[in-house]
Amino acid sequence: MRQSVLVVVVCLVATACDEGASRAAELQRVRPLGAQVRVASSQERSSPVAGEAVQVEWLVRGPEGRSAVHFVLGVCEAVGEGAALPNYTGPVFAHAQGQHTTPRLDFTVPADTRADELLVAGAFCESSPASFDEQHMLGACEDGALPESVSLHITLGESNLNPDLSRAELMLDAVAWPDGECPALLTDGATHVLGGRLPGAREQVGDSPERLEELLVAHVANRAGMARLLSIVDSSATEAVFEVPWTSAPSQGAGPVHFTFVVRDQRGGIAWLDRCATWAQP
Amino acid sequence: MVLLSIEVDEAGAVQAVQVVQRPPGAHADAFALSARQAALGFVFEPATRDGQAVPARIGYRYVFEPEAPEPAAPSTSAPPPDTAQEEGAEAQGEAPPLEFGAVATARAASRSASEQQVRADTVKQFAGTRGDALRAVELMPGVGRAQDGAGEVLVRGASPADTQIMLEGSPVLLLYHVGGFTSFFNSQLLQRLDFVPGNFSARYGRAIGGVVDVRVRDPRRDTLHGTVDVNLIDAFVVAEGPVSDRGAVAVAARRSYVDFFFDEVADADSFNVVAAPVYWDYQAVATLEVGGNDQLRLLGYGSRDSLHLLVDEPQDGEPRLRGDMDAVTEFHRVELRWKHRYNRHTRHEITAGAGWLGMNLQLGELVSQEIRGPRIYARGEWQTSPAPWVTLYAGVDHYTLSAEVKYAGSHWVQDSAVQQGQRILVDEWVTIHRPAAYVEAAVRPTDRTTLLPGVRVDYSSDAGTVTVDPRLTVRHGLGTRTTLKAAAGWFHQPPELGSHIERLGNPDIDSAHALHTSAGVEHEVDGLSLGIEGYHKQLWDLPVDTPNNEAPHLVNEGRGRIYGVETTARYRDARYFGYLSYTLSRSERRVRQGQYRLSDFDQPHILTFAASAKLGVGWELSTTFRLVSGTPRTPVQAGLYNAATGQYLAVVGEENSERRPLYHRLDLRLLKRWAVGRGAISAYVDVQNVYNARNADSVDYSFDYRQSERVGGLPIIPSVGLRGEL
Repeated sequence: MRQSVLVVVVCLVATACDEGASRAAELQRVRPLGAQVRVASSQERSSPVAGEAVQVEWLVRGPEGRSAVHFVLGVCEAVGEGAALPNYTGPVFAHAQGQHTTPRLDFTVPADTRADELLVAGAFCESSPASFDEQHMLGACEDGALPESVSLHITLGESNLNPDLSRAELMLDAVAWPDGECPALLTDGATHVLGGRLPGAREQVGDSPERLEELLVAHVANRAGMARLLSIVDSSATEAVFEVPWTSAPSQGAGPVHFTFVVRDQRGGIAWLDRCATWAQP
Repeated sequence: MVLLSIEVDEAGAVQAVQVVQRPPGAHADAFALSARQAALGFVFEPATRDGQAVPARIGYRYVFEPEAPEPAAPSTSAPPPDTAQEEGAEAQGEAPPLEFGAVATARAASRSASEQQVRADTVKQFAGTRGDALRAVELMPGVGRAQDGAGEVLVRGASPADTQIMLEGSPVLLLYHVGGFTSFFNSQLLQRLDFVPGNFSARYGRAIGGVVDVRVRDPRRDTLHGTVDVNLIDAFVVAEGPVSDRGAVAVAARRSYVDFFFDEVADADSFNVVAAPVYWDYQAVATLEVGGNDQLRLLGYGSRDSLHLLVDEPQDGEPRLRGDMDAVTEFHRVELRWKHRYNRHTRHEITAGAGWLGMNLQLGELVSQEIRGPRIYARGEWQTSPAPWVTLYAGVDHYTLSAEVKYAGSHWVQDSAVQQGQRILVDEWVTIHRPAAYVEAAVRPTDRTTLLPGVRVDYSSDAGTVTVDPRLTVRHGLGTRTTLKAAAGWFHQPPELGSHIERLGNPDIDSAHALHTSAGVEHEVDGLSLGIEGYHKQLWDLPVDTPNNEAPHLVNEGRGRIYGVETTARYRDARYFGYLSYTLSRSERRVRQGQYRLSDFDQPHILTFAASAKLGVGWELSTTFRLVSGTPRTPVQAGLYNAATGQYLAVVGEENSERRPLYHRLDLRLLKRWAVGRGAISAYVDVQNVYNARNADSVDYSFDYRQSERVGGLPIIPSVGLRGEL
């Protein structure tokens, strides 16, 4: 048991005092933002069982919005769940590689698996083919650029659906913000409020209809200014809503702004929404 | 008896001490030196002439008696002032001087080869300590530098958990309040600090590193005294005095101010402050003389550190760090000590105490940890000298902890603030009994040689094992000024609380063990003490995590070795005090059959310098400087994106293959003291890190581990304070 407990909290406070916009919420390069697992026979389900065919589709965004990446992905049965880092502890039974805006790995869960989890791992590179060192869990790009090494644990056997965002309503400054419309905003340093309602996105957890999933919403943009990366929808909240301030920087030039909202149910389910806006000089 | 001539300036400070007459016998030099050094620390009420404070020279009889139950600590308060005033307090240069006196207790030679006994009134003058004597532990030879704010004590390359912190022989939870600026016990009530970095006496056990034993002084019995200290961080008050011819009482209390300005510095967008960091402590001590051979002392003390935050939104790097952030550490204790002298050669000291401990840590949804319950501690030691050449010690001590342990979170990765694996829930009552018995002898086969064989037997109910630790210390004098010393001993340390709980650790976890060996030389010239000591510690059965933290989570498969050499030089005269130490060491660990690597606490070079000067008319200037190697660290090679959480994980390189930068810091303290009637007022400025060395020894990584920057390290910290003493 840790005895210097106050030290931990003091360190936390020091970290929390780091002011300014979230750097994790700004897309300065092409990078992964999540991966959705879909059971082939039941596309909304994120938790496969032995013998089922599965698709894993990766969400990748960059400064220009959707961007193609070179990728290499593999999947194995995972053991040693207590490890600090995921690692391939069994033979890789499916591979995929190529170049695409949505890297994808299709495979069938071994019918005789005894594992509780599968591990998907690999690497993405922006401008050259990628390779992946399975022993050290490190990727490499052929042109020497820094790769994105990625991993995903898939829990087998538990019943879970990806969040249903078909009825989601996003808002910009309390005005409806539908997909495909890119409202004009001035680069005047003003703070805007991005928010959303996510009705029907949460499943019931356990026997009580009162107890719903907790959602974690990551909000990223290709321009700086998001106050933080994450918002949370508590399991006790009667309505699934979130809000995050976003402040435009006057120094930023005119052009399109891409936003992506990634919703996780923290049980393996994930879904996302894209929105856009247009910067205009005042 | 030693007769001294003491020159006192108009502020009451001692300017010079001369030994006029030495006692007869083989130890004349030692007694004369001790008396002179004690007198150098005295503060007198100034002599006056026509109502004006003037310098004076007085005679002072310093009588030594063997350690006895009576409270015969050296009087550091003024001698009876009335006579001096009536006689006009002989001005300097005039003769004959008035003569006063005091009785001092002559302690037997240390029972540990490496022990450093430091008087509280000396070390609390050190710069950078803000007048806190316990902060001086950091300046002892072989003590490394802990991370700023951690409040930990790193002794000779050992983990902080391997060093036992004690107050009057009873273990205490912590030495410092949060932030590491202030210790939990008021320095005004301390007598001395016993610091043993290794090879400690059989009196001490349950530790494989070192021992810090804080000793409390008895309340003053001459008249009423009081101290009020107000500074930028906290304030305290002390009051003490006689309650009868045979008894005296002292009380003290302190509280921090951090909560008064925390709202201004905290980031309101990130969290709401529910209760800002606050610490407070209190102490009360009462003594009663019963007849000529007994003394009873009642000591009560307590301490509380607390912080409560409410974090509104999930943090970028760890979404579970949201909600209530609580940290509370609190303990209270009361103990009764009975000293009894059967005759001139035999006496005992028995202490029994009980207390309550509470620790609570809540880090949002990440982890919740709570320990609370009573503790009982008892210690008794009997001492007899059946012949002039031998002194026998026999003792028992017992420690019982009963606590409710609640835990919700994943496993901590050992010696880190990282958690991994599945979430576990624990809610258990844990009761641990740790009785021990020891015998020790100080045998003097010749005038110059002392052998200290001892053996200690411990039982730990949680480990379920009995350990037997034999120890031996040898001292041999070369003349009256030089002493050779060597020691070897076995030591063990029972598992940390909670380690034997199945879901947290391993029910079969055993004690860790160590073999300490050391050899050195001490040499004293008038006012100057020199020392050099080499040491080696072999450690085995250290608890380490299992691979991937799989059950049973914790096993005794760690080994370690620590070796080094310490050199010290200490000088003291009427105006100046100087202390210099340098330690060269290496500390390594090995897990299972792996190779030895640097331990997390390896600091090869530790250089410490402390000095103070009495500048006259109440001015005092002191400085400390530390130069310490950085501890090893494990580099991060890259980030690995975890799509399930949206967070990046650190892919680390070879363990402890890099080292944090060299740490260096200069502190200054300037004090001015004015005599006001029977009391005094002092104003002081204590500046830590005078030249604002960056000392950034932590690395802050970007969310994806692609960028990093060095952070941490305290900036320049000036502290201004005002103290009134009566």
